Amino acid sequence: MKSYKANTLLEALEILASEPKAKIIAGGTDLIIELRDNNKDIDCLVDITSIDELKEVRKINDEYIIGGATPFSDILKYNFPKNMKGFVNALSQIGSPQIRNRGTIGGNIANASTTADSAPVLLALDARIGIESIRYKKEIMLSDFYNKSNNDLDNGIITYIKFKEPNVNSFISFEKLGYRKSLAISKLSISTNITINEKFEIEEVYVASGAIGKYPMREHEAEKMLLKRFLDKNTIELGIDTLREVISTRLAGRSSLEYKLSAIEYIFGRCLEESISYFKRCNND
Amino acid sequence: MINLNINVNNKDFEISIEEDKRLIDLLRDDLKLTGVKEGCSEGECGACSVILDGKLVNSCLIMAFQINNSKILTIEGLGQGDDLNYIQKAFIEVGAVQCGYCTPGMILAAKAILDANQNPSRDEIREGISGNLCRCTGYEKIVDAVELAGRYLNGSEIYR
Repeated sequence: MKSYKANTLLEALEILASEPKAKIIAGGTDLIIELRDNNKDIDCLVDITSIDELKEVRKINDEYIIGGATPFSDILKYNFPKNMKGFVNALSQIGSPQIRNRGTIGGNIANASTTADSAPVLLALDARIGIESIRYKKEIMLSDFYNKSNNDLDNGIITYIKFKEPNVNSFISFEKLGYRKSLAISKLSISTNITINEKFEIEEVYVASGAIGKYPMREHEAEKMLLKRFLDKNTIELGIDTLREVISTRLAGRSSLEYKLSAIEYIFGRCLEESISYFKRCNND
Repeated sequence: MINLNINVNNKDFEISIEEDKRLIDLLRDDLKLTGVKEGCSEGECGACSVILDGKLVNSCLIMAFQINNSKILTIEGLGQGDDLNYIQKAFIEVGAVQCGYCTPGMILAAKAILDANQNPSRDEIREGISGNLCRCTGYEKIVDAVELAGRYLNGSEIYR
């Protein structure tokens, strides 16, 4: 096997262009397991963990820009506002301290697993990703990246993840169901991003799920049901019923369906209830 | 083969390695640091934990070529012969070691916790060791030991 340790983005892109079968390695927390299982025909690795420009967390105007090779523990050092609680929750529940110290946000996306822990919350934040190769440079919606089933990076690197800072009337929530607290592969996860107006009506809403489809995805039907409604218990019920219907069709025939339906009720309900509590606290302050 | 320059337990090494070697294999096979244990080989058990450039990591999930010019601490680098480190002393004092297989990784996880915070709560300790599995102790004694090590470190308890 050949290996390269790139020190700059340009160096990494040049190596990837000259070694078409090369695979990028950052944290390696998934890739090395695959290498050992011999599931992948990999004969060349390009390490990008020493590229400083891919490891920054910046806020420019109202946008957060996170370098693709930033480990989760470094992202968590950043002081995000209180209404981004779901983002911080999602990242701090990934793997274990060891995994968060190595695993990177770009790697989590590139791996394109339906259980990727950072995906639902990034979809709920309507994130975009920057992809760069020696031939092209583009920015695409994360939802489009997942919708294309091959997730082909075409010898490119995920250079950054970008999303707008939620406004003061918004709240990000995240809930995950796993077998245990640490190192749990997500059985189901949901993230919501809700913006309310002064009448407590839902002005804008994003709902995204993980592990209840082929890839992490936005739940547009549930979003439509919630939009413009007063944020209360009845609306929560309507949202849950809608999502349960969607999932019943999507996972029809699966043995896990019944389990996932009751799990949805619990974790989607918790996301929405947490949002209500947050907005009520804000009103009281 | 590639050449690596690394510092392991405060000693510099220039070493030639196969490119498909993992960090755990470099430490155990080449440097004979067998305190680094291989358990699950997939980042679940934490028995292979080492401290890489100040951060707790699973050495089974890192390729050796990735760590050129890095500094690594294994359990062998904590004490000096019979002169044990304060965390090792706390583990012995409390009785936090049973079969011992998880202990090197657990002690390095404890070091990572205490390097960041000399007075961690029991919840913070549990969070800090959440990537290290122990199948003997039930964790209570380990949490006790990390608390005691914290008291040794911040001087509220003196060790002999």
